[in-house]
Amino acid sequence: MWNEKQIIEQLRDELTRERAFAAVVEHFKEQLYWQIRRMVFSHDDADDILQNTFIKAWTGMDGFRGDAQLGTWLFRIANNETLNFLDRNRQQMSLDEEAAVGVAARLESDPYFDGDETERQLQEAIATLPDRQRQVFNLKYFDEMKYEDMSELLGTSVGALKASYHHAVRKISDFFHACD
Amino acid sequence: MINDDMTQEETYIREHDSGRRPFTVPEGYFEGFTERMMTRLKAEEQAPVAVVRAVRIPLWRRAMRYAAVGLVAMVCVGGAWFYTSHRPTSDAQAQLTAQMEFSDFNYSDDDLDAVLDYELVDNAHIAYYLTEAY
Repeated sequence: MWNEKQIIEQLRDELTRERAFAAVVEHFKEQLYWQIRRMVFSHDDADDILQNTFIKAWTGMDGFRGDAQLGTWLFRIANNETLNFLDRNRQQMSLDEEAAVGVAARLESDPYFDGDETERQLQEAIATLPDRQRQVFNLKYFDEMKYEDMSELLGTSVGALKASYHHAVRKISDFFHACD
Repeated sequence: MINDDMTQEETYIREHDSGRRPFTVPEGYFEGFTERMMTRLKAEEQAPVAVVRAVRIPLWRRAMRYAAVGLVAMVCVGGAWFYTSHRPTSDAQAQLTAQMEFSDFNYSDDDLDAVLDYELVDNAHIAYYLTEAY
């Protein structure tokens, strides 16, 4: 049974810290993984980022003051790791021959993507969004997260999030209109 | 009405969305993840730390370093004095400086779009979205 208050106390105690952190990993691994995977598409990349997230959380545990929930804190670390990865990847892709290959084509050859053409197209449409806008879209469209919860998670105002989501929906809609 | 527009556009997108999660993971990935993670954390904590031995630097070499630092400091101070005492103050120079500063702000529309997208703000309908969205 997950008891966050108890877990936080155990994390602060050297004797119980490791066992408590293992419980944290077990509790949040899937949720964080899918948040990351939707942004980076590749399983291998998502796995790397997820591991880096937990490493950063482990080494930065003393920096967790408890004023936010553990999940929110971990999500922010994962979010930063993901965005940093995408920035580095974008710089590399500009020098890489594979940059010309679209997301849909890459997903077609990805062994850990079993969607059909329509599902590949949706992912390609989402991939056209700027990173932070894509994140807002994923959280609202797929997770149906409330704007207020998203605001706390991302540290952005509700108004900006609503505007961003509206803009993202318009862009994706235009993408499909162009394909139809 | 922004809400009706949003519902129609979202409905249109959902017509292209099977509702199924098409991403998969290798078999047993999540089941073994926690153990792999904790093993890695332990391994990284126990990784050997490189030991740097202190090396005694000869006196003459230390003296050379101090002399080099002093020389660089003299060049900087001399350069600053020379610049401040020979800085042009004419109106023509001031005009040229103002022109150069103004040219720094000639961003293209593409640059502005990228910045506004990045800042999560719609550049075409800022006021409309922020007011109607409430």
